Amino acid sequence: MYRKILVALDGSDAARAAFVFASDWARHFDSVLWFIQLTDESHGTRREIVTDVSRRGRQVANHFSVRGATRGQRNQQLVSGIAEAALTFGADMIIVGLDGRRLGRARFAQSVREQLTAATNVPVLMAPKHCVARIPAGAHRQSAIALGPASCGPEQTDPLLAHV
Amino acid sequence: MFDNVVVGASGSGSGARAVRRAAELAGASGGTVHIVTAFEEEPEEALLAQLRSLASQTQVRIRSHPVRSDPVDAITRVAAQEQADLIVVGSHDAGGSRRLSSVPQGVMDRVECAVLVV
Repeated sequence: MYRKILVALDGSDAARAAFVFASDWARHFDSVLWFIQLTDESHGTRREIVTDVSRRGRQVANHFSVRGATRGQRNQQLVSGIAEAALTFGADMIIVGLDGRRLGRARFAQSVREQLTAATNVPVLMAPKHCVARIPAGAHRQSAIALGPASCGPEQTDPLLAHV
Repeated sequence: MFDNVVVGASGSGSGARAVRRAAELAGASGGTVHIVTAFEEEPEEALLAQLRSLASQTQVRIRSHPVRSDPVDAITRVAAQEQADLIVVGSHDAGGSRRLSSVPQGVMDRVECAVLVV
């Protein structure tokens, strides 16, 4: 039951919430998490969150950027990137931590989620917003999130969030 | 992890899948699965019984919530009432379309808790 989970994050509060939620999930259900970070570089800016995964010696990040000229193009790239990553990793669930406002809230709600559902048969979980409060203020946006197989299984008893 | 899992259910295939998943997740957490069905005039007792039967394949506490309302309102109302940790909904309508139905979209737009679309 949802043992291989792809977590799609950007640099938003929603991503922080998703990270916390996914980590809790992995500990509870003995799941393996794969992270993919999505950034919108269309305006020459990048916002990232820290998870300390890189400092824990895990594998190289999976970084995916969208650069479309329009929101529709960027959303399409975003959806394709998540769906392909889920297929590649053999994910049985996708946890989405993306802030709709950063890519256009209305389009995000009505386009990205629908496109993602249509693009993959993998269940999609929108993380709760309240997990944000569990991360200390200012602890994020210090370095890029490191991605890859962040194992939260029994072989790693130290909480993933120990240094967040 | 999940004390209260609310599942919005219908007679569709994805609705049945949602009930099974919700029951599994609630059961693995020692929680309760709340099965919500929306109706306009009379509760669909046969559907509720069928969904309870699906959920009972897992060792889990089950509560049924037939609500006279539209599905989005019914699900979000029960979720608030039961302080849901997670809402599970099917992605597709009864016609089996690949398009995300209006129910998960409406639920996702109105709640703060986690929403799993299966």
